[in-house]
Amino acid sequence: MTAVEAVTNMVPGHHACLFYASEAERQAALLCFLRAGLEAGERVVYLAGDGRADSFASEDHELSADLSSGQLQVHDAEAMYLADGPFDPDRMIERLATDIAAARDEGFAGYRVAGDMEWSLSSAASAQALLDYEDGVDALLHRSGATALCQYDRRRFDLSALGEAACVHPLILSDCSAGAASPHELLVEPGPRQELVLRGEVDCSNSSSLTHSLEAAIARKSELRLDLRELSFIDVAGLRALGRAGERLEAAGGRLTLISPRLLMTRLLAMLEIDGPLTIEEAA
Amino acid sequence: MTAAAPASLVHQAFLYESQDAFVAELAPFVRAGLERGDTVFAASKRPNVDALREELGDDAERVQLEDTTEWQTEPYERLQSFRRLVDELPAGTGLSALGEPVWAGSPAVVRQWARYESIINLALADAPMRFVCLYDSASLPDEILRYAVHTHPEQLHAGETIACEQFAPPSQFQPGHAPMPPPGAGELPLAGHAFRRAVAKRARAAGVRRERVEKFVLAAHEVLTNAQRHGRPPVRVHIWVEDRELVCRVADGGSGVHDPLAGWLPPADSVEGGWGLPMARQLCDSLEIQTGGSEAAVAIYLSLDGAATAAAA
Repeated sequence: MTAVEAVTNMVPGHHACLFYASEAERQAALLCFLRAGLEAGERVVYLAGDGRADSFASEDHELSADLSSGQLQVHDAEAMYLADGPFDPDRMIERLATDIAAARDEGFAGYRVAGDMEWSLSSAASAQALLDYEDGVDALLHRSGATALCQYDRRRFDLSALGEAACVHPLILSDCSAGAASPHELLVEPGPRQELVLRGEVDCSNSSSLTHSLEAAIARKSELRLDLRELSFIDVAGLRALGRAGERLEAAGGRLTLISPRLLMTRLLAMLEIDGPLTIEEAA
Repeated sequence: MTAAAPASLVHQAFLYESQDAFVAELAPFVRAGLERGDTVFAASKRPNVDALREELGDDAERVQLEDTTEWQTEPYERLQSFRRLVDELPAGTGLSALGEPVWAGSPAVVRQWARYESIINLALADAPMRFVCLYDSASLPDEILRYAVHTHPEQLHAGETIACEQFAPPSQFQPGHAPMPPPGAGELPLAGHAFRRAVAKRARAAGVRRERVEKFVLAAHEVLTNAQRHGRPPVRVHIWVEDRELVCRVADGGSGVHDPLAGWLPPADSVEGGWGLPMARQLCDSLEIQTGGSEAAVAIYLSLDGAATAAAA
């Protein structure tokens, strides 16, 4: 699944992050995300980073009409988040809540916001404040049914920052092979029964983002269930990430359950001798 | 006890012409091991094992006897089993072992076993072990009997130990020929998903069954990942069919993998990674490393003979 396809599958309440490595990738996912909201009659907001707000508003493109009508709003992200000095997560969440309520009052079917995240590289935004903010946004989206997409430039954020971002977003739209002709996405998202659903392929290019998703999940609960039915490929590095997660959960008195892994995956886990702490279960 | 365990590996080939010759040579070997207080192990073809058991009488109960066609039938796994036997020896004691490779298989499988025989010289070099490897000279082809004297420093013959003049150190032992892509061999894209799809497509086109395609694709992926991580650009991958074998060869511009043990041992616990080549070896019929020349390469083979199902897992 490509990032664009993954964006298309987002539903109200979803809070996703995209790690992109090229301008084309960023734009494709962004336009797809915005267009879906416009078509659904939602208020659509784009918090643009790196001075992109001006060019987005002035250039003529397929969404220009929506800008004129006011259904689509574009703001400069840095001005929005950091205008009054150090980043204040509470104030921003309050503001977002007000915007969401206002959109409803104005008769829009919903609310969605896409944000470039470069502003968070500023020293005015502490790591803890960012985590608090994303947690708050998560709760707000869940309550209000609004949708958010946070876009991180892989070339500018270091791995630990991306790892933290992966931890605070329930949905990760991460492309798998930068520069590949046909990127095959890994998608990690909550399933209907408290489990995490893994889709796509895991290889050395994205096993660290899998690790981060698992760590985020482990931080929240001790019994973790992973639905692997739609995981079409996982390499040795990815399997070891699963093994490490299993060990950590077991050490904490919990359990990692893999739902319907492919037969080869089960055999490889045994060959790697990391299947001890894992429970294998077939989907009902 | 008549003699202490050897300070390091004694690795010998024994070419037997008949079951009688087998028992006559090896029953004394087993008894000598028991007398020394060695742990004694034997894996051979079922009739040989049965004849040995009968000859040993009550002593047989102190020997672990296995049918070689049922016990660790894949070279990588068998090597790990022997390493475990050595690790578990009581302090100060030795291991006396008889082992017969499972030569029934495709040419790729046979090469992998021959390489296993050679690599034992390194992997178990420090083991206090007398290891006699068994070759049925009445039924094995000359090629395999030649491997025996290439991969063992000594051979047993009528109670005597004879040096193998043709013994080749593992770094120089090369069964078969070095794989080179023929003109027109398909070159594959290197990006993750596209690469894997291309390997799968080629394997399916060659008639490989679905489960074996899946294993071969993962093996190829791990070899490519290894080259991209440790080798030097340019990395190039070719895939072709030759002598009823599917070959996928990953070359890079570096000097290559020089440790003959590469891919034969699991990585130490403290090491992150290092599983790529050992896993790839277990997922195909043969993994061959090529160094020297202008490029280094690792090639993996899959037999296209329907009967060959040697790849484990």
